[in-house]
Amino acid sequence: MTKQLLTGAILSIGAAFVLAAPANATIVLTLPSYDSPNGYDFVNTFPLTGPTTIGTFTFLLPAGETVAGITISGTFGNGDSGTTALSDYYLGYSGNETAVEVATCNSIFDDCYSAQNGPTSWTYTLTGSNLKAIASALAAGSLDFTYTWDNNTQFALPGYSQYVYAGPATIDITVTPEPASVLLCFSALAGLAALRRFRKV
Amino acid sequence: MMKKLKPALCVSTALFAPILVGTCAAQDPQNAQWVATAVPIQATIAGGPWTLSQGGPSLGGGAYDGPTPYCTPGNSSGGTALVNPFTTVNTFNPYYFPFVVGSGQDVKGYFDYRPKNINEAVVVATSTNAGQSWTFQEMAEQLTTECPNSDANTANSGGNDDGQGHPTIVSFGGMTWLYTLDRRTPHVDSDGLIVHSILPRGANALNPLPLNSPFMQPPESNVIAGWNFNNNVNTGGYNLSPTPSTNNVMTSNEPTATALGMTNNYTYSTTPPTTGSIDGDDVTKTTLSSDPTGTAANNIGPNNNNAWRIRGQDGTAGVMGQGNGWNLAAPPCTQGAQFLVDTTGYHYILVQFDWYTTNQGVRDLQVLYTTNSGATWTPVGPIQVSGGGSTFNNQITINFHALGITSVENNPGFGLQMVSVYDPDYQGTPAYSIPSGGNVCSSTATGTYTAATLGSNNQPVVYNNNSGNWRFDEVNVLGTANSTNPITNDPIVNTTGLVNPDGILAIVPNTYPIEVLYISKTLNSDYVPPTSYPLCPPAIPSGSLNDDVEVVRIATTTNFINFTDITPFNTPQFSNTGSPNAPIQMVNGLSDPSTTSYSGIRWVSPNGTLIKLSNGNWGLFFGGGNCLDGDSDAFHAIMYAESNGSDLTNWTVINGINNPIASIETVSNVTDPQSGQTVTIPSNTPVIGATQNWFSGRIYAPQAIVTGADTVSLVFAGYNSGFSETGTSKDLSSYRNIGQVNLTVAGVTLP
Repeated sequence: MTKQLLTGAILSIGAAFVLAAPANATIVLTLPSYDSPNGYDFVNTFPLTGPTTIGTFTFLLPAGETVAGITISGTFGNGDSGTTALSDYYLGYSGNETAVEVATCNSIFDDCYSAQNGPTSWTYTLTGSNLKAIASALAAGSLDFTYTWDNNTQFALPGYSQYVYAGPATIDITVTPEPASVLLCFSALAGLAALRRFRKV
Repeated sequence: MMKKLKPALCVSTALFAPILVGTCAAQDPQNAQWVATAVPIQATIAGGPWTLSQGGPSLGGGAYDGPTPYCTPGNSSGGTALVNPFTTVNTFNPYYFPFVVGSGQDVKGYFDYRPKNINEAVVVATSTNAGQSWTFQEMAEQLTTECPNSDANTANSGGNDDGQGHPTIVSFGGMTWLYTLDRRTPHVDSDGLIVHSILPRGANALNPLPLNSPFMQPPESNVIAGWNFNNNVNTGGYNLSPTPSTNNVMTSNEPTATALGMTNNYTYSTTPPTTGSIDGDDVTKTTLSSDPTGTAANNIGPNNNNAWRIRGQDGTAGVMGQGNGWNLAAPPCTQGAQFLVDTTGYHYILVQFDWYTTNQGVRDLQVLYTTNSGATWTPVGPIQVSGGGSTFNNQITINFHALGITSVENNPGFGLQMVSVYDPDYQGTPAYSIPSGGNVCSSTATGTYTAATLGSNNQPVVYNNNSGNWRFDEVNVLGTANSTNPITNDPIVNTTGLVNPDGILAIVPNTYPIEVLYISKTLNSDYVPPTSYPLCPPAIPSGSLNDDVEVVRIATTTNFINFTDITPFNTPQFSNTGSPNAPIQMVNGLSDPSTTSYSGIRWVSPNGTLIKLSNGNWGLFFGGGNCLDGDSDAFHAIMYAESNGSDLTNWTVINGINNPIASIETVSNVTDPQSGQTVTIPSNTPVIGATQNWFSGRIYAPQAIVTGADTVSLVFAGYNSGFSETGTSKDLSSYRNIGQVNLTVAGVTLP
């Protein structure tokens, strides 16, 4: 009897976990359009030493959940200018060592640099290794969206400074329960299965 | 098979189109086939400057005294130009030559705001529905802040709306350039386009362009100091330093006028030769300056015919010191006149003067300026060339503000010299030469002075070295008091290499060097070699005549200012002489500047749209005109052409004059000048359907916004036909309308 009560209690707790465990969810965050405040004169010495932050995606993961995937999208160019200077975009901490490249405009023959009909869309889905690389930023709930100038003096225009223009950037963060929670759920499922078998006996 | 396919395409499109208008006739399924899916609408604008609908109908209630006049309070009280709040939504006029950037529903447009005879400016607006309705964002480079003095605003100088038009935007690597047409006479269709480097920032889409164009005369401009020489009663004696007739200098530093180089020891080519000259300037009667005509018949008393004559005492030949003053041995920039004017308290400095040359007067004049009381002098502006002997060159203008020369402002040491220089056109010896850098006053310059009157072969001849002089009138140094209306520095930079540009037709995406198709318009040149084209008969119904030659040319640039024209030679097809026309530089197939056929495209207008198609071709929407119009502004129809993917110099018109995308009102039963047949133009219903009144007089500047894989929103400009009427029939209530229509395409997909 006691054993049955104990088993029932465990199964109840397991069932509760099953009922409470959330399915995969998505957090959607958007940063506004961006214009670089300063231009880059490709003829002269590169003026910037590190990445420039466009903005930071901040979020709070629900307890017991983890990030399963991230897709980020945006545009080269925006409503102010349809094109952008040659540039690379990163997501992570504002330092390349803990950020992953998510987009690049690296040729003057690309739409991003020379299209006359408006901004050029880009989308990138982070790989598993990408997610590992920015794990600490994810744990902190803070992802910097940054860029660096992609130097190309071959087509530099004397006397002109080029500018980075970026449209609104959006990330879709897919969150799932942490493995420990999943294990509890599986335990509950196993318990339910056992209970069903016990009753049959 | 082909015949069956065409109707099939039309029917299948019709099944999905709420409204199907136009025709599929004469279209090749291998090319794009455009069909309208809605009737065209007049777009609206929220906010911005005064619009036609606020002025009421026609001329009776227009800009001057309509329900909401151009200026507030308006009428004879003038006031300031109206600025509508964003809550006020008006029909989108008078705006034309749209240039739309972007695709999808969210787009930005640059427009030519041009209330007739009142003003002209570049206006930026945004749309979130692909051009059906717009919201004003910014206005810049307006020509004037003056209020109209009547609905027609033609009482004074015929109104003024020749500012900067035909805006085109190029964006490249995060840099942005705005190109505009300089409409001022004589700059239009001869100067390069004006290039503005801009840095768009949110609502400041035209940052850092000023609201007021450098073309604008300072609204509160003052004559700081001026000489009309009418205050200098000439009794026959010399006047070596005439006093100013106007003196508003704010300090005690009095303006001065003196002659230069007239006292000298040069030898004069008289018989016998004369050595030396003594300054002998005087004020003398000289008519036809910009001074109002005087009433006195001579130069004895005060009158408006006076001018200041610069010369030596010019006495007896062979007598020491009696030379004419002007001499071939004088180094360049050492003989002429000098005016010193303290500009303390003024900015926006402008200089104007009338310059007269006698038959033997030296032909070439250079203006110099100083900012340090004459310690150094710097040439400014081009060499001024006399219009001929005994002739005034009136109101020569040096706009220091427009040139970006601000050192002359608030400067007690400002001054001017108008001095003689060697003639660059002289082909004899000594040959004309100036050092690199172009300083015409350099001591190493070589050449000679020539006379204002040309020789029998129409070529300059050497100054005779013993007679002739210059005279000056209406010499004014103007400025705006520092306390009023500061105007942002905005020097004018022109393109080079574009031949008589009227505007850009289209920019070729993803090219470097950047490639552009542009409109080259040579005014009044139908009979100027190498062209010898038959003149269009009088336009129907206006009766207008036009003999401009207009072609589409192609050029490249790597710095957006200096262009290289790469247009191949092609031969206009129609000749009324029986012998073929000479080849000229033009792209092939879009237009024929020699055609007189009402079915032919004689003229093409700026601000079209180029689209890369899935079939590898380039598609081009463009405005064009024919001999029915009598106007090279090319507004008869919106048409469509394609060129193969590698060649933008050969085009096939798919939707031409007779099966256009859109057309002005139909002209029926007229005799074609070329074929002699009775024709109706257009012979087919346009793609967008029946012509509406608001674009029945003109239609052009199509901007195709790609909204889907097979859809575009076409934004364009149109006038009603009443605009071209005269007298009391003239209707200024519906011109320069911005319109919009949706199209879908079969045969290709869009980028």
